[in-house]
Amino acid sequence: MKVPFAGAIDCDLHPAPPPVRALLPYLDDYWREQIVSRHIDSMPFQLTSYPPKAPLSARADWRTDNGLPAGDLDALRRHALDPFGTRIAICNTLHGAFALQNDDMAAALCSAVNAWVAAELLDREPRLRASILVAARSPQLAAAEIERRAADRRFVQVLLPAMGEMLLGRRVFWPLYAAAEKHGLTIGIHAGGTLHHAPTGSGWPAYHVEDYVAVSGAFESQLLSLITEGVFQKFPDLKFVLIESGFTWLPTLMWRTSKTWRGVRPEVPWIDRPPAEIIRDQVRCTLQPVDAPSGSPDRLARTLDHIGSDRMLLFSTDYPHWHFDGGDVLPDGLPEGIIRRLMIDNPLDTYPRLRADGADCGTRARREETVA
Amino acid sequence: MNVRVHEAKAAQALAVIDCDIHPAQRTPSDLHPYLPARWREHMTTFGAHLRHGLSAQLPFPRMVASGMRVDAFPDEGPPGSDLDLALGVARRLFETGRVPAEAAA
Repeated sequence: MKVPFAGAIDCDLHPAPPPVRALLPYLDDYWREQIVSRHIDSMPFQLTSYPPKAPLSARADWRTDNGLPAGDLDALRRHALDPFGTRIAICNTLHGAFALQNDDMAAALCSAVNAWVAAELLDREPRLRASILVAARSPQLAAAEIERRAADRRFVQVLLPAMGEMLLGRRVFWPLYAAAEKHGLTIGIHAGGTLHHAPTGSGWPAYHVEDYVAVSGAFESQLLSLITEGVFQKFPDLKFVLIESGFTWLPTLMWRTSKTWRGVRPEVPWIDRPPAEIIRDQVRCTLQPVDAPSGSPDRLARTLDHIGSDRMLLFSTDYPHWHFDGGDVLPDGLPEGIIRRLMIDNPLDTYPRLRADGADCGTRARREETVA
Repeated sequence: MNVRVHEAKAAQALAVIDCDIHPAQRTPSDLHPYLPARWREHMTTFGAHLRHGLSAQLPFPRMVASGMRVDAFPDEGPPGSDLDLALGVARRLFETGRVPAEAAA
């Protein structure tokens, strides 16, 4: 179904990453020379997780003349902001720099992407906010990039891939979380990965469909790691947003983790309440792609009932990825009350910077407006 | 009876057998005539599914000119995709120890 009122906060959309040549002004002399002389400026930095020509990667009517999905800002306004009455949209620019093996080069390019996003997107469209792209394998460099961007309050989140080289609960990542919490940023964990390891526990799959479906397993592993390592106790003000994760797998993970924890909790004595409660408090999931069957509204309502919270889902179009046709961004069967929560209230409760910066001024009041 | 090398009168030329050059396709679609339609479509839509996170490049960018000789680049396509240029560069290298400027241009 379509959004019933204006003022939505879209928590995941994807502007096309800029070509490397467009990043040259945002690099220092050393990296500018290296990027050009090593021909890195002609490399596409496309992620294996999102083959640009795959139907899932971009809706046919959202592809633009330059062949790229979401290739220019006007198209993004026309396709992703205006039709949904979106008031605020969080850009996750999926540039492949974070998958490089060279930590210094990855950090330099991620930083350049962030500077480009600020100048070319945020400066030009006041409805846009953005995530800070970092290369998580070097948490010190990632934390330095967070410090560098923190003064620009249009950056509201730090973006990490669902699959990296180590589980995200590990203490090596804690400086990154400390920097994010200090500045009122959330941690966004996005589907896909560096593929520095095989994406399954039994090696490499043969087909893209396996990569795509298996990523929910990666999200489960990351969530378990964050819980058991005590990240949520160490950083009680930090929210984790699972982006393009789906959410119908949550009830079984929540139930099994809570049940098993009850039996073995002396192993992890810092966990002070059932893991399902921790998840409801500090973890959020973006809406699209909805991993529930359509045409059976009761099933979706029952899944949400099993999750046990109407505060976990965040509205997202996942533009330009192809998960729905026309304007039918909301799945049928969402209870009336939860539509208001996920479109406006939940995002405001999740992102401290949206809340603090008055992004809700007028939004809550205007939410009754009907989208023209 | 063997002829002693220093007594040989005939003109001699050094024959070189280069045991490792790397031809390349100019574009991925150069393979299409040799692929069934099912795999042409798969390669076009999903790519080669390399076993790393970046689908169309190395995750370790190499040094100058992507690790290639700068005189090995044809006007279009990657080094090794123009056979005449590739063989010309290789032959001149072995004949003279260097590639004349006009060959590199």
